[in-house]
Amino acid sequence: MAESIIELKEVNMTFKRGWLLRGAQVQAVVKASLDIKEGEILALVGESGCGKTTLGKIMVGLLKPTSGQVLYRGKDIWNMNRSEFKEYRRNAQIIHQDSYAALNPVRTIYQSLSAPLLHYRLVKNRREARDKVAELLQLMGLTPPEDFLDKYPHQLSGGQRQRVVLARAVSLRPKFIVADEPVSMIDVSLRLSILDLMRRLNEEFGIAFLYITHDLATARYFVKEGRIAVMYLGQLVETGNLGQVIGKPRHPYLQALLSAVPVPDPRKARTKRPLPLRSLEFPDPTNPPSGCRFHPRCPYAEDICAKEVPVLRPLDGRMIACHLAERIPEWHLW
Amino acid sequence: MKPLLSVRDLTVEFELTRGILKAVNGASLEVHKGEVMALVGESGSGKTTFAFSILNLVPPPGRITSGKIIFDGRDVLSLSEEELRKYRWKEVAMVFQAAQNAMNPVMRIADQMLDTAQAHGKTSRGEVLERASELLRMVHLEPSQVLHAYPHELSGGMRQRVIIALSLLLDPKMLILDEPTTALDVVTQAYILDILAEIRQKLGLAMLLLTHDMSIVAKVADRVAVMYAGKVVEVGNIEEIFYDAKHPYTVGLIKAAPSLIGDIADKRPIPGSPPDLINPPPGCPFHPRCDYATDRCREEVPVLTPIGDGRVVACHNWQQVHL
Repeated sequence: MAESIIELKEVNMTFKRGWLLRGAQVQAVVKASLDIKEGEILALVGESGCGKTTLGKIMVGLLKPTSGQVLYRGKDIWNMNRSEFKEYRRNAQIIHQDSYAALNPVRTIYQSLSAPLLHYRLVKNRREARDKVAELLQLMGLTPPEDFLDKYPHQLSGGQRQRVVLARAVSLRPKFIVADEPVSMIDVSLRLSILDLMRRLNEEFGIAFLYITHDLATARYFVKEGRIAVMYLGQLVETGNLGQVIGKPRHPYLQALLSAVPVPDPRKARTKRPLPLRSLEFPDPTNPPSGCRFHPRCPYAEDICAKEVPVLRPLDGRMIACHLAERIPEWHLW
Repeated sequence: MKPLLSVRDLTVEFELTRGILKAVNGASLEVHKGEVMALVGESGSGKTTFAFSILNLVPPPGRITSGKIIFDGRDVLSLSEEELRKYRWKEVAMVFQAAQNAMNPVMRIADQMLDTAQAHGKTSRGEVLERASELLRMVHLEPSQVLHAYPHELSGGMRQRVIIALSLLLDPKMLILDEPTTALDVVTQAYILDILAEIRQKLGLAMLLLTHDMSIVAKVADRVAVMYAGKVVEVGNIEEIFYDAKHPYTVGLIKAAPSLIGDIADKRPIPGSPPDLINPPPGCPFHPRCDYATDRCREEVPVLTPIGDGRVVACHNWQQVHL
């Protein structure tokens, strides 16, 4: 078993809204425990507002959790000394959905990509930086690099910009990258090529990836035999091997989510029936349901579900947070 | 049977500082009464501009430079302003992209309904509200709760359902839906697509559904038109398109659509990137990305050709193409 690169231990994250004493609180992440091994690929899947981006930011040290621990190679990142923390931040990178917002519009690609190299002294001088940046662009499939070095972000397509953003993250030779919805703003014909590129970076350089998405189908494409973690309103509800979890979902929320995902095959799409939910409305995150946060929408909920917060526990080769897991009827896509 | 909508060789140009951009470049399409036609294309393929043209609503600097649009026997492009006002919403209604976020925030839903009806000449308050209530029930909303609400009091999915009800207020013969579920969660999306199918059953109106997502097409469409670089490149019924596509771009789109089922190894991106519409490639606009391209494709623009069973395809080599 490979060593963990990032480990979350019972992480809670509460945001205060408003100011002074009246501000409402949003608990965006509730007691999340999750670990990612060296070189692993893991998909974190959930709908908008479920806390998946917050969890990603916590993993790369951009947010400090309200409680709980974030360990990088076994060391608590919020108890590191300055140089350890800097080294950790170099090793843990993040890329975002909007590649246009991620790049400074008045800097050329060369300028954007050389800045981190010079900052971390990974190159000796500007001459070397230019060669290194060209090499990176080549690696990202932006060829010939000379065509891209002196361009501005607006001169590139969405797919090309996302490759530049990936190049910048990879330039620091990280061990771990959080990719937060990296393809949702990219043309459908090109999405898979960005995922293929990330896959290659994982295979060639052993970079671990946390792929954050709302899209189970791209998660399946990218993760392949890897793991998936499913999140609902701040709580991790089911984690495990992706094939196993999607093939035989145990948590009622995951069953509902899978039944709602359309498939690009008309004969299959028209025989797939949505699982009835008790309510379609997403609860107010500032006033979340007690106990299991899914219980008001869950067709199987019982009294205990409103009273106690379920924790992830092993069952059927995966981890699941549901009081009634053993009794939830089996469910398949067809 | 005569089509409800017939668009022939439509071209829409935008004069920009860099040059002339042909957002729609000789596109043709027919939509029949009561059918759900999906218009599939990536961003920049021209599908939204195509839809705006059907309403004769192309925003400047865009202009329709050639082509003919016949709706239910009438020539849309020669209608007067007054006639257009009656044609829009009563004959063809459109749910615009992200319309759920474009409602008037200080007007209650009931007033938005009344406002719309009045602007199109329907004045009886009681009648309008009665019809509005019926339509709200059709989209699974409780009129007593929704009519008096302001938009911010409703969730995104509820607002989108209100917009769909609003679009149907004047009993149009055709409804255009531009990416109606893009901003919504998966569960809400599935619910709205089911509602659209129900509406179609109950009202029997035609729908033109604009989307980039082949999974949504698979779920709701009867027929599919694929657009690329401002042209309709293939039209067929749902089974033909998904199981026997004849245009290499259609094949590419199906193979590039990730799925929960099937072999992942069959999936792959389309090489290259979408064309620059100001300087499109000569010949077939898809040839630089096409596995089947020959010299002829680099020189001669393929035209939309009937290949039997009401299918049309614009490809020189369609006989060699298979999924």
